[in-house]
Amino acid sequence: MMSTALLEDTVLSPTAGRLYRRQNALTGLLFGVGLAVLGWFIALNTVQSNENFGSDMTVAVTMTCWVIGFNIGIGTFNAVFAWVLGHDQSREDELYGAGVSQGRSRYFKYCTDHKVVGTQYLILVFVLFFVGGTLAMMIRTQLLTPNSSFLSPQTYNAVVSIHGMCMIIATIIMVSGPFANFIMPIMIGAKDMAFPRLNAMSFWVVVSAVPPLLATFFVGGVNAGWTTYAPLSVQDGPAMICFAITIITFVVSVTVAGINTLITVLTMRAKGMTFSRMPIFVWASVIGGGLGLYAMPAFLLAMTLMVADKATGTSFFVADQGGSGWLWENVFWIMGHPEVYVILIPPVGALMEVLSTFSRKPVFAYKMIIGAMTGVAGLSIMVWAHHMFTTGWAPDLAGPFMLTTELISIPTGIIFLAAIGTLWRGSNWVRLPMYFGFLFIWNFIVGGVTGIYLSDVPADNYFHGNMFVTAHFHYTLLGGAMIAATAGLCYWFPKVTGRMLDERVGRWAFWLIAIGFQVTYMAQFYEGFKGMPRRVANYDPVFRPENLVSSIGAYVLMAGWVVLLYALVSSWRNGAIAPANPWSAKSLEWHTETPVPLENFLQDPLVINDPYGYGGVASEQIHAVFGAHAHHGANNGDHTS
Amino acid sequence: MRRLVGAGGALLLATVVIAAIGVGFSAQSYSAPIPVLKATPVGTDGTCGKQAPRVHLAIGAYPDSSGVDDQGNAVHPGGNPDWPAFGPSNEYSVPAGSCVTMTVTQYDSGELLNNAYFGKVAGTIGNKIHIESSGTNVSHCAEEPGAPATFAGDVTELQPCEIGHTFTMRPLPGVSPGFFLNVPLPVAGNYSGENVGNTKDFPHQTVTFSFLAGPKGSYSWNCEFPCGHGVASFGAVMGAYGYMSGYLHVI
Amino acid sequence: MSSNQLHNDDSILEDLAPEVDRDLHSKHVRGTALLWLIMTVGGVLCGIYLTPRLMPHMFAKEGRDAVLTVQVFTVVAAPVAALVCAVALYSLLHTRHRASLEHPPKDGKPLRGNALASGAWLIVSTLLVVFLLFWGLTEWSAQQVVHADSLTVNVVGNQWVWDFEIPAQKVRLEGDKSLIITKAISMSQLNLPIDVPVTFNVTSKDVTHGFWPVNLGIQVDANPRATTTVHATPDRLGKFVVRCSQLCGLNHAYMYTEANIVSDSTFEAWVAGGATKPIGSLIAKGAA
Ligand code: HEM
Ligand SMILES: [Cu+2]
Ligand SMILES: [Cu+2]
Repeated sequence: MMSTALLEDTVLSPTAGRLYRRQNALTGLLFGVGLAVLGWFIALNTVQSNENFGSDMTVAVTMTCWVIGFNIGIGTFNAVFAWVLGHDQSREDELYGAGVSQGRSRYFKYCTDHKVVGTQYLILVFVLFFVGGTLAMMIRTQLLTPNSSFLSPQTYNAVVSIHGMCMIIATIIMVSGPFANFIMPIMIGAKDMAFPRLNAMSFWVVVSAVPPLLATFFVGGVNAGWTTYAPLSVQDGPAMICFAITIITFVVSVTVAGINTLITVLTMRAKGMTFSRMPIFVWASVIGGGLGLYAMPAFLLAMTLMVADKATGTSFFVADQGGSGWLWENVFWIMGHPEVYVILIPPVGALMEVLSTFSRKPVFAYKMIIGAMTGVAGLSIMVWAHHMFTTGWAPDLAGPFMLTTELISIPTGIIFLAAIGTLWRGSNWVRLPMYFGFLFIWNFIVGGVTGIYLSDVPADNYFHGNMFVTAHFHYTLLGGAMIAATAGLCYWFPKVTGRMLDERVGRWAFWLIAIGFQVTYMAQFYEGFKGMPRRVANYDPVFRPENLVSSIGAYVLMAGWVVLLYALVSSWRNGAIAPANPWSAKSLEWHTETPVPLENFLQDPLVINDPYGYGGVASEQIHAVFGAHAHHGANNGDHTS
Repeated sequence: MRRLVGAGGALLLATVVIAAIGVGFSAQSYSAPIPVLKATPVGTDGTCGKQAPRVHLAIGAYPDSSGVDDQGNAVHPGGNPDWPAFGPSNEYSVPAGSCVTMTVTQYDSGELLNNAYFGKVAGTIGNKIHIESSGTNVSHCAEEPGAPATFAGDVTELQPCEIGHTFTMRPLPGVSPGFFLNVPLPVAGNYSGENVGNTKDFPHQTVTFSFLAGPKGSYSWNCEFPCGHGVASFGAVMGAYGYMSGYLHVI
Repeated sequence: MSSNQLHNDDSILEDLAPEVDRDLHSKHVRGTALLWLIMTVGGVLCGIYLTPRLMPHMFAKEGRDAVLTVQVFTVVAAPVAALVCAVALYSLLHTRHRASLEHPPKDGKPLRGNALASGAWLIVSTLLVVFLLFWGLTEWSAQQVVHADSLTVNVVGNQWVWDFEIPAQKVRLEGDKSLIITKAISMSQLNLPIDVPVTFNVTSKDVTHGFWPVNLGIQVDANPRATTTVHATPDRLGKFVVRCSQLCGLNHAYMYTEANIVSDSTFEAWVAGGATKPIGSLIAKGAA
C-alpha cells in the first residue's frame, strides 16, 4: 500500500482533476445565479401570465434552476457527464478530487475527502444555527411584551416558520454531517466513505438548499409554520414554493448521505471490526441514517405534491376541491415523527462515547443500547398520529397511537439506564464534554416526562397547540439532541481541528447555556400550563411575566452559544496543539495522527476488542493493533496502558 | 484577560449583527411606513347612548392599492396593482372612551362571501349601519346583468351577494374580550369588477356607523370578504399585512 | 487541587480486597438511595401540590381530567426521573475525579452490564407504561360517552374569527325543565347554560383552525369540508376564553373570543330576549 504521508505531497500533473480544477463555490454561485436568472426570464415571458399560478410557477422554475445551476457549477454532475462521454477518472483525478496539494482552497471545492466534507458540514451547521438563532432572538424580542409591534403578524409568522425549518435542517445534519463523515469512517478503520463523490454531493446539495429557504423572506414569507399544514400552506404565496424546493433538495442530500453511511459501515470496516465491536456511535449513525431513509422520502413526496397543488392547481390537500388537509398532516408526521429520532439517535450515540471515555468505563449494557436504539427507530415509525390526536381524524385510533407512543418510553428509558449505568462508579473525569453530558441527562429527563403527558389523549386535549408543546420539543431537541451533539463536538474538537478547545471560556459558555436554557423553557412550560397558545405574535397580558422571563433566558442562552462559538473559533485558530489522543480514549479515531492523514491510517488497523475495555484485564484494554506490529500489540497514541 | 476581552468582543459583535438584522426585519414588517390616522375629539355628545367625546374617522376601501384617492394621496404606498386596499392608512388611533363615528367609502366590487355570518352588522351602536349609494351599483344576487345594489338608510344585514368588503374588528388578546365589530360594506360598481375606480367619479357606497371605544388597548381589524387568491380566496392580499388588515389603537 | 485525588480513589482500594469493594459498593448504594429518596419525595409533592396550581380552574370534567393526569403522571414519573438524577448527581458529587484538567490516574469499575439492574428496569418501566396506558384509556373512554339529549352547538372557524350557532332545538335544562329554541341563534361569543351536556360540531370555512375552549379541557380542529365533534358539560359559572390552537395565517394570534357559562334562568332570559343582548348584561340580574 502506498504510504499516505506521501499522498499529500504528491505532485499531480497540471491536468489532474480536469474540469474540477476550474470549479469551486464561486463557479457554483455563478452558474446557479446565471441559470436562475435565465429560468426566471423565460418563466416571466411564458407561465407568469397565468392568473392563478403565474408567480408560483415562476418562482418554482427560478428556484429549481438555481439548485441545478449551482450543482453544475460546483461539479456535482461532472462524473456523470464524464461517464456518459466514456472517460473514467484516473487515480490522479481521484487524488485531485480528494484535495491533494490544494491547501485551504479544497474547503471551497467539490472535495471527496470525508474529513474535508465533515469540516465543511461543521461550518455549515454553525452558519445555520446562527441564522436560526438570530430568528429566535427576533421571536423572543417580539414576545417580550404582550402587544408588541416590533414585527407585523406577517413577518412574525415568516420568522417563526423559517426559524423552525432552519433549526430542523441544522439538527438533522449536525451530527450526521460533521461527525458521521469525519469521525465515523476512522472509527471503523476505513480509508474513506464508500462513495466519496456522493459524499461531496450530499454536502453541496444541502448548501444549494439554503438560499431558497432564506429567499422566502423576500417573496412574502411562509405563513404556515415549519409544519406547513395544508390548506393554509397552499393558500400561502410563492414563499411556500421556495420552502418546498428547499425541502426537496435537502431530502436528496439526506438520502444520499444515509445510503453512503449505511454502505460504508456494511462494507468498509477494518479487519476484526465485527458488529459487536463497533462503537455505539457507529451504530447510532447507521440506525439514524437508516431511519432517515425511511422517513425523509415521505417529505420529498409531500412537498412535490404541495408544489403541484400550488403551481399547477391539483388538489391533493385542498378540501374544497376534493383533497384533504388530513392527508398532508398524515404524510408530514409519517416523516416528522421518525425524523425527530433521526435527529436524536446520532447525538445519543456520540454522548455514549463521551460518557464511556470520561467515566473511564465501558458503556453499560452495550447490546441493550443497540437494541433500544433499534427499538426506538422501529416504534417511531408507528407513532406519528400522536401529533394528530386533536385533529378529529380517526378518533378511534387515539387508543392505538397512545399505546405505541407510550411504548416508546421503554426503549428511551433504556438509553437512560445505559447513561447512568456508565456513570455509576466511574472515575468521572468532568471535562467540558462531560459538562454537556450531565446537562443532557437532566434536559432529556424533563423532555421525556413531559412527552408522556402529551401522549395521554385527555391531557393532550389541553396541551396541544400550546406553549407546553413548544417547551417539550425544545427540551428534547435543543436540550437533548443539540446538547448531546455539543458534547460530541467538544469531545472530537481536538481530532477535527488539531487544537485543544479553550476549556475555561468553554465552561463560561456552558453555564450561560445551561442556565439560560432552563429559564427560557421552564417559563414556557409555565405558559403552557396556564394556557398560552403557541405561534402567536401577540398574547394576553396575563402571560406577561413568564414571557419576559423566557425572553431574558433566551438572550442569556444565545449569549452562551456565542461565547461557545468564540471559544471554538479562537481555539481552532490558535489553541494549544492537540496530541493524537488527549482523552486516552480507545476507539480508532484517537489512534491515528492528528491532523488525520489522507486515507486515515499509516498502517492498517486490526481490531481485536470493542473500544470499551476501560478498567478491564490487560487483554481487553486494547481495541486494535496496527500494521506489521499487529502481533506485538503496539497501540500507538495510547498512554493509558 | 485576553480571553475575557475576546469573548466579550464576540458577544458585542454578535449583538450588533443580530440587532441589525432585527432592525431590518422590523422595518420590512410594514412594506411602507404608513402614518397612523389619528382622530381627535370634535366635542361631546350622546350619539353613542351616553355622553362621550366624539371623534370621526374617514377611510376608503379601494380597488387599486397602487393608485391614488380623491385627494391625490397614495391608497397604499408601494401597493400592488392587482390588489385592493384600505386607505389612506390601515392603522387608526382614537382616545379611550370616545364615541367613534367611522365613514367608510367603498369603491370596490365583490363576489360571494364565504360565510353569511359576516353579512350581519355587529357591535355598532344600534347594531346598524347607514348606507348612501351613488352611481349604479350591481350585486351578484341575480343572473347577468345582476341586481341593483342601491341603499339609502339604515341596514342591519346584507346578503352575501351584496358585499364588497367587510370591516371586522376584535380586540388584541386581553383587551376587553367581549368586543366584536362587524360591518359589511356593500358592493360598488359591478360585481364582476367593471366600472370601479379609486375616486368619486366612479360608483361608490358611503357607509357610516358609530361605536364606543373601550378602555386603552389595541384592536385588530381585517376584511372578511374573500378578495385574495387561492384557498378560500384568502391568499395573496388577504395574507399580506396592511392591505386588508390593520389596527385600531385606543389611547 | 491534586490533594483531592485521594478522596475518590475507590478503585485503588477495590484492588486490595473484595470485601472492601463490597463495602464501598454499599456505601455508594446508600448515598444514591438517599438522594433518590429526597428527589422522589420532592417530585411526588410537586406532582400533588404544585401542578394543579400551575393550571387554571377548569369548567368541565374533561379539564379536571387533564389536571389530574398531570398530577398522577408526575407522581408516577417521579421515582424514575429521580433515580436517573440521583445516579447522575451522585456520580458528579462523589465519584468525580477532582483535578478536572488532569487525566484520572485509574479507570472506573468495568461494569459492562448487570442482568438484575437491566431486568428490573425493563419490568418496572413496562409496568409503568401499562399503567399510563390503562389510565389514559379509562379516562378517554369515559369522555366518549355521549349524552342522548345534549345541546348542539355549531362552531365555525373563519380566518380569523370564531362564530357559533345554536340551531333550533329543544334543550333539556337542569331538573327536566325544557327550553325550546325556535330560531337558530348566531353569536360571536360562546354562551352556554351550566350543567347541560354540549355537543360541538366544528367546521371551518377556509383553512384548518383549532377549536380550543381553554378551560373545558377539550380541543378539536376545525377542518374545511368536514365536521368534527367534541363533547363537554360545563359545570361552573363564569367566563373563559376560546382560542385557536392551530396556526391559521396572518391574524391567528387574534382569533379568540369569550365563553360565558351562565345559569339556566339567565340563559332562558337571554334566549327570550332574542339572543341579541350581550349576555354579560343579564348575568347580574340572573345572579340576583
Ligand atoms: C418519551 C418520549 C416522548 C413522548 C412520549 C413524546 C410525545 C409527544 C407528543 C404526544 C407530541 C404531540 C404533542 C402535540 O402536538 O399535541 C410531541 C410533540 C413533539 N415531540 Fe415529543 N415525545 C417524546 C420524545 C421526543 C423526542 C425525543 C423528541 C425529539 C428528539 C421529540 C420531539 C417532538 C417534537 C419536535 C414535537 C412537536 C412538533 C410540532 O408540533 O411542531 N419528542 N411529543
Ligand atoms: Cu412525535
Ligand atoms: Cu384559526
